[in-house]
Amino acid sequence: MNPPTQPPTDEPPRDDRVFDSLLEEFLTQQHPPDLTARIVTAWRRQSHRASNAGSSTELIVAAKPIQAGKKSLEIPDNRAQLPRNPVLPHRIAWMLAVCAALILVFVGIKAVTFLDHDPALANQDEANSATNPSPSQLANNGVQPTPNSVTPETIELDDLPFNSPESSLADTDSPSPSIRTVERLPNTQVVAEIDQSLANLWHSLQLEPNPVESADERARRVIATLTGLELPAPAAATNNIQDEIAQATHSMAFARRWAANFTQQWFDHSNADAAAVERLTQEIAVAIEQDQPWNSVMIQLLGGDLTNQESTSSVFVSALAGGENHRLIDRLGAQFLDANLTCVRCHDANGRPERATDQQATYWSLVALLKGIDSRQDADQGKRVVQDLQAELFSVDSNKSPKPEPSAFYDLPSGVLKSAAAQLPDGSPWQTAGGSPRVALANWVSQSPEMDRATVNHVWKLAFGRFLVPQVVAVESAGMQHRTELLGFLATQFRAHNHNLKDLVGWVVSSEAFAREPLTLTQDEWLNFSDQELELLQLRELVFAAGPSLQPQSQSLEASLATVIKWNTPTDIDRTATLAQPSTDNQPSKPRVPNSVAMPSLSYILHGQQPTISQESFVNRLLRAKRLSWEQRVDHVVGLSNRTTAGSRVQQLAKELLEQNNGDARAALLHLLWAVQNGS
Amino acid sequence: MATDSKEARKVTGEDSELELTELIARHQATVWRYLRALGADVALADDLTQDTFLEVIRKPFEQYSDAASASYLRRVAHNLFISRRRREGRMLVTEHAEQFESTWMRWAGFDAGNAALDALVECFSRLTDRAQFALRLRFAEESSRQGIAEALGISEHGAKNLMQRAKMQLRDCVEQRLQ
Repeated sequence: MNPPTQPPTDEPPRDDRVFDSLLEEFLTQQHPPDLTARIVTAWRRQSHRASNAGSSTELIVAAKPIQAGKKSLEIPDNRAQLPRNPVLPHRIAWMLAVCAALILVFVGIKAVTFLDHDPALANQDEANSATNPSPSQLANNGVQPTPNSVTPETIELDDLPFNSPESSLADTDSPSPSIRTVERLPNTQVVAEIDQSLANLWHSLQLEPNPVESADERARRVIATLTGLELPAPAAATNNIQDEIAQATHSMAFARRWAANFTQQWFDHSNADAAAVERLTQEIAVAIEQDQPWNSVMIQLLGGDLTNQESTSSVFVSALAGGENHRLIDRLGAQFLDANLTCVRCHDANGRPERATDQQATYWSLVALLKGIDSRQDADQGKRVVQDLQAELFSVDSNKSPKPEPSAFYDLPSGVLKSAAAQLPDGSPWQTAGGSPRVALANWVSQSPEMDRATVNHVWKLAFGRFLVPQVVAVESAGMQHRTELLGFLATQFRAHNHNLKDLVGWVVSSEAFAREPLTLTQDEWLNFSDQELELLQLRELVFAAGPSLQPQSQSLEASLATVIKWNTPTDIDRTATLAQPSTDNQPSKPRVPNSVAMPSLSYILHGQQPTISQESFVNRLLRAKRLSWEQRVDHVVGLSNRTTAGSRVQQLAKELLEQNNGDARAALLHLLWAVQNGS
Repeated sequence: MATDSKEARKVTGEDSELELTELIARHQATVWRYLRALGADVALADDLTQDTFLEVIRKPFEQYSDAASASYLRRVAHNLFISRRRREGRMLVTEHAEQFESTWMRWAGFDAGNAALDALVECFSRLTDRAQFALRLRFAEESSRQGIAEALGISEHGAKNLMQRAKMQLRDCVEQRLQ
């Protein structure tokens, strides 16, 4: 008789338990709580007890090292470490503490005796005491701490004032009178300024730009970029190009395409409901079509009504909020503040620390500012819903008595714990901008020059496929001064034109740079070009001396990474090794790369064997940070793109890259970096 | 020398707190869900998650990779859970840790179960209303099979079959999305 296959009770089969627990979590909405504060507090108490018990406790701990990760990740039986008799360990600790205290007293007496006989050393210790008056050091030196010289440890670690001099949020880019009173130039003059600025840039680099495309080709590219429509070849454009642009930018197709361009970026890799995003896209399209100031979209997205779950703000916030709202803040930075806040979550940005949005303190003041905003999956409604508890956390109502506002705690790279108060990115109190902290932030962003710059930069990227000025300048710097000035000029004109998106897009596609022929080289040409020729091509691409390809579509990071992995497979290594070598024979070159292998970026081909100094320096910095795990290093590289963090697929591909390079982290990170620079 | 060693210890202490905070941020969801899957209720999962991290940070700990850290944390959590059950004099968990680990890896190994939960949201909405209702009663309301049968106006056997089929559909659907 065979035994029954089903267990006789309601207990699920073992294989089902993980799935059942996930199902239960989904149905009861009992998600993992954030236990960070609780665990850290418990750990501090434990450490405090251990230090009170004397250094002997540390010796006990140190006597039981584990071999985590080195062998089979086996751990000692934890049952053995659980105190069966809770009194015994305390007695042992107490006895050890007494021993330690006796040793310290003995050492102290010896030290005092020694100091009495050596005035020079005594003076030196006095100086040490003055500069570092911690009680433990005083005790070590055998000097009794005086009340005046003792600094309580709690003050050193906790509740440091946010407005310390080094964390001043004074923003050199805050709205200046010159920005507000800038003269509004006619469209033709703005385009002429773009052309002149880029011509100066090319001249300074002694660079010959690509020739201007034929009128037909140009018309096809302009229409495709503006409306997504394809003109038949030869193009059916009958008007001159400026008329075509004017006509296209005033069409509904333009409004729909650009609304979709932006919403796709806002909700990329989020929990957004597709139907809600589509509805929002339609609303934005109408706003564009009616020439509404573009910056008001920020108030619509973040500053609107959260009590209505169908509102635009609810859609935006529910898609991105959650936890400490890191994803929401990162997205606000990348899309509306022209800043990659992924980096500054952990440290000040290396390139432009003078901007408030490049400082770690600013990031955490935003975390504090958005406290009370959360989103969760609602099982009844079958979608994510927003929770807004800011009215309870912040003293929004002036009639109520003020109460302490929530703050955010964060670690400096040195390990010092700091606290950040809820403030606007320029350091001003949120109350000055009106409404709740969330609404105040939306108001501030919509009026900020940062949003002007962000919009210009994103429009440029959507047209050219690359940012005018990258948000992270760690690995690219060609012609950066000219490009930064041009970005500033366009941002001020965008403001002067009442944030009219049609005007802005029109300027970009009317420019001569947009009319230049794109880089169109065959794989054979890629392979046979010399180093110098490739570098020149890359420089042209970097400073927009070559036009964008028709309908520039940014390759996804996953696709870009897959291309790099495929290109880097052992059978292709020999081919890549010959890439930068000039052709040595006069024979017609054979295609050395199968057509099925997509071409990686020019940067990858050019520097595949020899990275640039900035690329190498960036990767070396990551490798020097011993604290970072492999996944965190991957996150840092991916942070150079618009992504907040690497998803599981990217992590998987990065791991493949690491294996492909036989565990050489430096080589793998460089490949990843090239993939990121090529992808979006 | 005394000053140097003190300074070194101080730095190590701050490092540990930073490491702990980062470790918690990255892995607490995994540990908590793992304990829930083992059978811990919410309060016990909270407690044991805390104990797990304290246990791990108490001793020298190097992070080789997220996967290795997560695996190590799960082993510690598993041991703590068994210890707790034994001290309470309750039934022992008898299956091998490796078997449970492989099941865990299948559903939640790479992202703490987030992808499976996301897939569940969509897959659950595709079930019939009756199946959704039955599963809600079973998991959210903790109703007995008899209670579910009465609420649906069917026999107990019918309720059992309905829930089994619904769960099978859900599993297939989620598995397809995870591939």
